[in-house]
Amino acid sequence: MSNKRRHAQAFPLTATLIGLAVAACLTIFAIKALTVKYQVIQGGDKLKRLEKELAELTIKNEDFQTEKDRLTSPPALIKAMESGLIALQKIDDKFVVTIGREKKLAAAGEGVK
Amino acid sequence: VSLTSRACLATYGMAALFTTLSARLYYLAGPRHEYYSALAQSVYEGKQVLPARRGAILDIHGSVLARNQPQRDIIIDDTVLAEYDEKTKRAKPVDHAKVAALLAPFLGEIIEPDGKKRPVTEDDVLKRIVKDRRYCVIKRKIPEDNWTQLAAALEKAKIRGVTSEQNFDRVYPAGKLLCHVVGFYGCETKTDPITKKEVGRDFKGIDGIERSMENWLAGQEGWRYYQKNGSGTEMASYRGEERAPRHGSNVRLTVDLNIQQIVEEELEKACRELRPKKATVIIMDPSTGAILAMANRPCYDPNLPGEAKPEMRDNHAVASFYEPGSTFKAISAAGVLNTPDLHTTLDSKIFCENGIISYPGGKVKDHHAYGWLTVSEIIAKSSNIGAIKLARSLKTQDRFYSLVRSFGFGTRTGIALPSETPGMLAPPSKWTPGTMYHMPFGHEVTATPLQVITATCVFANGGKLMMPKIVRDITDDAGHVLVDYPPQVVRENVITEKVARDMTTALEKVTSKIGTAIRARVPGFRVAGKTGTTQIFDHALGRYSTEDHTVSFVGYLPAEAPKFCCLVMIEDSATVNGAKDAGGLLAAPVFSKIAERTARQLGLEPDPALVAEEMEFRKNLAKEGR
Repeated sequence: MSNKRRHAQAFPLTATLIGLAVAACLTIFAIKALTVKYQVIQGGDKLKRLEKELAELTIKNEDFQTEKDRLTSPPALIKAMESGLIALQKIDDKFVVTIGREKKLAAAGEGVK
Repeated sequence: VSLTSRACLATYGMAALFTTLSARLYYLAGPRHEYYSALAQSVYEGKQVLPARRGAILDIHGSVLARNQPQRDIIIDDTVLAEYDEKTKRAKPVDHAKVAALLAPFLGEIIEPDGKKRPVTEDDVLKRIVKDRRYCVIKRKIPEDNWTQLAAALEKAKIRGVTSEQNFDRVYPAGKLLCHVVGFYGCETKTDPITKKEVGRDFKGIDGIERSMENWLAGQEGWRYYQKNGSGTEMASYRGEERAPRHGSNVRLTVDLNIQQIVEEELEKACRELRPKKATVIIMDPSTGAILAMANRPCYDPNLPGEAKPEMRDNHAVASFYEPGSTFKAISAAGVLNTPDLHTTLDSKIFCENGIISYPGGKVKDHHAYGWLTVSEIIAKSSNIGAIKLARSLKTQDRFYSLVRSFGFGTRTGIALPSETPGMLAPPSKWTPGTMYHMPFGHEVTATPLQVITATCVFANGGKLMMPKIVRDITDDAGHVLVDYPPQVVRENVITEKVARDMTTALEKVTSKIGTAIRARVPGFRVAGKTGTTQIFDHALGRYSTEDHTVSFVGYLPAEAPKFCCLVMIEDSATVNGAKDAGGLLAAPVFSKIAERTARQLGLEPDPALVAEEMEFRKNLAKEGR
């Protein structure tokens, strides 16, 4: 005991350094923890924003799809033709090629004139 | 007081204080734990419902028949309703009138109790805002575009407290087309079965496929637990348990919208001319039982179901029955041809009693006094007495009853449409002496148009009774097939293939010069079919009307390899009555027009020789003045 006392330093340098190192570690850990928490919150908010944007785009897409279906439905097309918005030209029967007939003639080796 | 005493007093006081606090702590953490933890949870935790999207209804080619149109509900939270003050840089209360003036132009129209529409006014908005209420619904279902514009206007005016919630409208782009099959989606009132009082409302498919395929279309909503911060906003990084919604599946029908359009156009033309009480057309693929088109009159627009009268919503093809009349004679004849021990063939001759036959309690007449007719002539000329004698040759009533049942009469077909009726076919024990004198030509028996066409398809497909099919498959959003509905045979060998061929030969004669349906002919194709004309029972007179009839024609083509079967049924024409109100005169021409256009749509090749023959046939008819 007396031997220790004899070699004791006037200033507890080692203990102070250890204390400082522990304090630094704790501070860094705390800062890191806060940073991670902040990033998690930020990430969550970003995720939420992206989710919202995706939902809005999906809704817009569905809205446009529905509008497209409405405009290309048979009643809408008939109305458009009646109003002259779509002008169709009647195809003469002589220009109509029936696929079934063509195949049958081809199979019989007669070809299509 | 000595120091010791004071110390003792303080110690006892402290002990009492800590004991009380400990007891309170024990009380809160022990017996009241559940209550307070639930209370705390309700403050920082919320449950969000994740709505499921309703599936679409498509035709066989993927054309949309029903889908969702996104809409917005406009909500005001009056407790946070405020505007940003530029001077103080803080939020300040905003006048309700100012908010109403801003909102009104974007809210579209409102329907008055008398059914008239008018634009939403500021007063309408003001009436909806309730002071200090957190959830005031200002207007439901405004278009997405309106909400986008309104959100921009609110942003510009720096007003907060006005939000929107997602909603949707069910849209039917094809309008009246196929309305009875598709049905509609809406609100159904739930009533208590005992008190009969309204207990709530349920949004679901009300009619047609929307109703019968509700489980597939509706999907299942999901949910998510989340944590809120002090201002009640969700903290997305602290989400808890979650179940994703299962969106509704898409239902693809067997119906071809192009053929449906043809049917609707021709039916509309016929109805404008004949003004019937009701009319039905069905087109079916005889080999698979797939319904290619189904139309009824009267009809309605499923986008406006509230404007439809109840009779407009009836799908007569499956929900109404009628006496099939002469179309039933084919069933009677087929049964006899299919019974080998009778040795009856198409050329077997039957004596038709010169137009009148008696039975105990009554008599049956033919429209012409026929003598000897072959079986095919009985069908072609539609002899009632011939049909009776054929059916009676089966000897027993049970045999005839089993025959009729084997063609699917008296039972539901099992099609995936609601309100299907089985028709009426009494068992032989309830038959009167006259039943065997009426049922062979389609009286004293009722059937739906769908049952009649399904039974006729037995002749077209070689003797199989197919289950009518309206749903092709169920798919997810990516187009993957979840459930497939293959063709289903209800009964194999109802009749033999030979009898089916013979019947086709006989039914072809119906559209020949000697038959009752020369107007059902289609240039370039051989058509087999049968007319039907039945008197309608007049409840006021207590007897069958001689003026009003249900007329029909059911046929298929090309007769040698049928690709489709079509039934036209017209009931009680307002413009044609009496003798001219007959299947061959009213229903057959409609069939002809529909069949001609449908054949073209399906890419069937008209036979040039038959086209030339048809031209010659028509010339001869014109010469004869027919």
